[in-house]
Formats: sequence, C-alpha cells, structure tokens
Amino acid sequence: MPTTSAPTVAELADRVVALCETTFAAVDGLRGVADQLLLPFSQGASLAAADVAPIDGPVRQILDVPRSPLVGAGLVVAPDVLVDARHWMQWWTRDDDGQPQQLQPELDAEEESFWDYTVLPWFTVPRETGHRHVTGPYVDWLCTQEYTLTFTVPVFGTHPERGRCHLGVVGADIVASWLERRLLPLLHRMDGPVALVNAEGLVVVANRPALVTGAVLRQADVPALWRRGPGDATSGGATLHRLSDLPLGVLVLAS
Amino acid sequence: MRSDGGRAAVFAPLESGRRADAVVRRLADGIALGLLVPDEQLPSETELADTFGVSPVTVREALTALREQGLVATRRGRGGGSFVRDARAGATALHERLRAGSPSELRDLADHYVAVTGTAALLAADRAGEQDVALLTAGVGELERASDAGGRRRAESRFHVELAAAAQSPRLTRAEIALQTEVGPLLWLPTATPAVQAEQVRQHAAIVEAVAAGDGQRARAHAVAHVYAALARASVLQLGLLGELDPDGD
Repeated sequence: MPTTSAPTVAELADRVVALCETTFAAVDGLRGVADQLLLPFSQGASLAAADVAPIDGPVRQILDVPRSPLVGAGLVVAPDVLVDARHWMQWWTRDDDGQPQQLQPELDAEEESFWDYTVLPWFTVPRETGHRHVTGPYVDWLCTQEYTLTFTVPVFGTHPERGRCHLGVVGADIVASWLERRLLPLLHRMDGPVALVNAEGLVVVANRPALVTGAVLRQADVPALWRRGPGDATSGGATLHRLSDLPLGVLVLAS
Repeated sequence: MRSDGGRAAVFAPLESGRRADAVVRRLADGIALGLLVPDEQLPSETELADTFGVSPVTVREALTALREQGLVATRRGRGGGSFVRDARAGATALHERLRAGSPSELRDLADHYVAVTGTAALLAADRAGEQDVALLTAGVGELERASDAGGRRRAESRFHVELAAAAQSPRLTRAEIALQTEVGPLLWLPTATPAVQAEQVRQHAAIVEAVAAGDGQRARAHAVAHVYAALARASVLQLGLLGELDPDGD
C-alpha cells in the first residue's frame, strides 16, 4: 500500500461540505419550483393545496436518480398560507424498492394523531434564522424510520397585506450511514481521535469505536465551544473547527 | 446439552403470511443458533410440510432458498436428503456484512440486542429455577470447551437464548432467537483470540453467578457490558474495513 500523508482537518471539512452541498443542490432546485408555485401568495391571490401539488414531479425526479443518497424530499407549507389546508406538505419518501411514495401524515389539528411539524427543528430553525439548516442525526420515526439527517431551506414571500411571511421549507433526507461510509475512508487515515459532530455535540461519525455515532461526546463541551462563534475554538486539548454555513464541526481530540 | 424445547420451537407450526419466507427464517435461525448442527439431516420434505403446516411446494421453495444461501446442501440417492451446512461461521461472510453496514447501524443492532438481553438477564435473576441455572452453567462450560469458531458462536448464541428462556418470557426468547442470525456472527467474532474467548467465558460466568444470586441489576449490568464489549471489538474491525472503501462508491 502506498504511504500517503494523513488527511488534514481542512481536507475532511472540505469533504463534508462537498457531500452536504450535493444534497443542498437538490434542495435548492426544489426551492426554485416552490418559489414559482407560491408566487401568487405574494401577489395577494389565494392559494390552495392543489396549487402546490405540481412540486411532486420535481420531487419524484430527484428521488428517482440511481444511487441517489436522498431517501425523502418535498415541500412543507407554513400554517395559514393555503386557504383550504391550515397545515400541508407534499413530501415523498423512497420505499424499499426505491419507488417514491407520498407521505400521508395526519395534518388535521383536530385529530388526536395530528403531526405538528411546526415545532420540529427542521422547520423552526430555517424559519427563525432565515437560513438553510441540517437537522440531525436523529431517528425520523415518521418518515424514513432510519437514522437520518434532514436538509432544509426556508421559503419566504411578501404578502401585500401581511408583509414578509414565512411560507414553509423545502428539504431532503439522507440516512446517516450514507455520510458515515463516505467519510470513514478519510477519517480512518487521520492521526488521533477525530469526530464529525453537530452543534449539540452529537457524534455523526468518528474514527474511534469509543466515539459512538449518535452519542453526545463527553470528552469536550461542544455546545460551549460552539457558542464561541465561527472559526476554531480550543479547550482542554480539544479543538472544534466549525464548518462555515453548516451546523456541523470537526472535533479533534487529544490522543 | 441440547434443549428439546428449543428444537420444538424451530419446528412449530406456522400461523400465516409469506410461508416459504417464514420456513426459511425458522430453519436459518435454527442453524445460526446451533439447534440444527452441521451435517445434521433435516426431516423429509413431507415431514417438514406436516410439521410447519404448509404445502410440500412451499417447503421445496424454502429449501431452494436455503441452498442458495449456502445453509443447506441436498444429496441425492439412497441416504440422500437435505443437510445443514455451516457456512456462516466464516470470516469472509462476517467481513462482507460489516463492510455493507455503517457504525451507526452496528451500534443500533447492539442497542436493540442489549434491550432484549439486558432485560432477559434482569428477569432471569428473579425467575430462573434451579434447572435454568443448571442449563446456564452448562452453557458456560460449553463455551469454555468450544474448540472452533463455529462452536464458540453456537455456544454464545445458545447461552443467550437459554438466558431469555430462564426469564420465562416466550416473547423475549423469540426476540433473542430472531436476533441471533443477525447478531451472532457480528458480535461474537469468528476471529476471536483465546484471550477474548476466556474473557467471554468470564462474562458469562458473572451473569450466571448474578442470576443464581437473584441479583437482577447486577445480572443486567454484566449482560450489557458483555454485549458492548463485543460491539467494541466488531467496531474496530468495521472501522478498518470501511476505512479501505472507495469513498465515492456505495
């Protein structure tokens, strides 16, 4: 085997960003379609659920790409945007045979099994920050039922009377294992313990069995390091390299 | 020691559903557990159809699938029939499975397994009779004496199923059996060194000792530590295998 020098933190960070950008590129494509479909709202016209249904075509198309990492995608509409559905989504998942299936959650708030997506981070964070977001990894029990990362981008409009409004999010899901398998070849060749973590300090993938995927890393206070802001932060031998524009960071621990 | 209860469960009639798949699953689980041992002859197609309560065509379908999985071999002529093969003990199959997964999937499998095995240990301490403790103690000896990888894995699996049976819970026992096919080769590595085998024997003995003493919390703690120690060994192997993958492949 040829001897190559160990990958740097910057190389790992670039790889993570590249993989995330692939997913966001698909989501950005959907946002263009959503912007078009929701445009009448900003012109003061009333919109119904049927008016956003045409996003199904592009959603199914991005799910139907061979070897696509995407296991779910769609548009989730904010409350009170559509005249005939207070809560609404056009969301599709890939079934075991790779065929897109439309998700049919209970969206009637009067029903006991109502699925209130308006409190979930993949919906609220982009709404509050106005910025794209990666949620997870988490167990997406409603949709994929797998260990999942959800990539969402907010959609806004300006209503003649109501002013600037959050109209919803477009997004896509990938399973955590897809990311793990693509990062381990790099991680494996790095010296010392290294983990990709989210802002809460949850391990996404690491090069040591003791750094378990999905466990909150206890060797460093990642949330505290995170709050120091963009760039690198060091404490007690652990250095967090925040990735620009993503809620993910590379944590390098002392050997 | 062979418990006939376990064998009877393998051959119990099926209720409904995708019958050939169910027959495959039952027999594959039995082989993984060592309830059906290598070179053992399976009952005839007619007998299997009777005991499972399915048609001979369904049995034939199932046997074809098992042959394709390398779990049984069919010999023709006088003294012929279907025989159990011991194909899954191999390190190659293990490597393939580890390479096809990811750390989070392996961890999740271990978590699920810990939920079943940990609770079985907790309840067994409360419920195991003298006979159960005797069976578990014999199981520890079986692992200690096992001289090859297949024998070690079967002894491991058998011990865990006996532990669930000692909890007096058919559901936990069925869950334990169903998980063995998946968990067995991953958590009780065929590549285990004598030191690891000795450590596993000590862990089993500690579980049995706590069960016999009626100390459920300690039995559970030992069982949980036992599973996660096995997970840690499998993880090291998996990180190495995944580290060699083509990063742009599947």
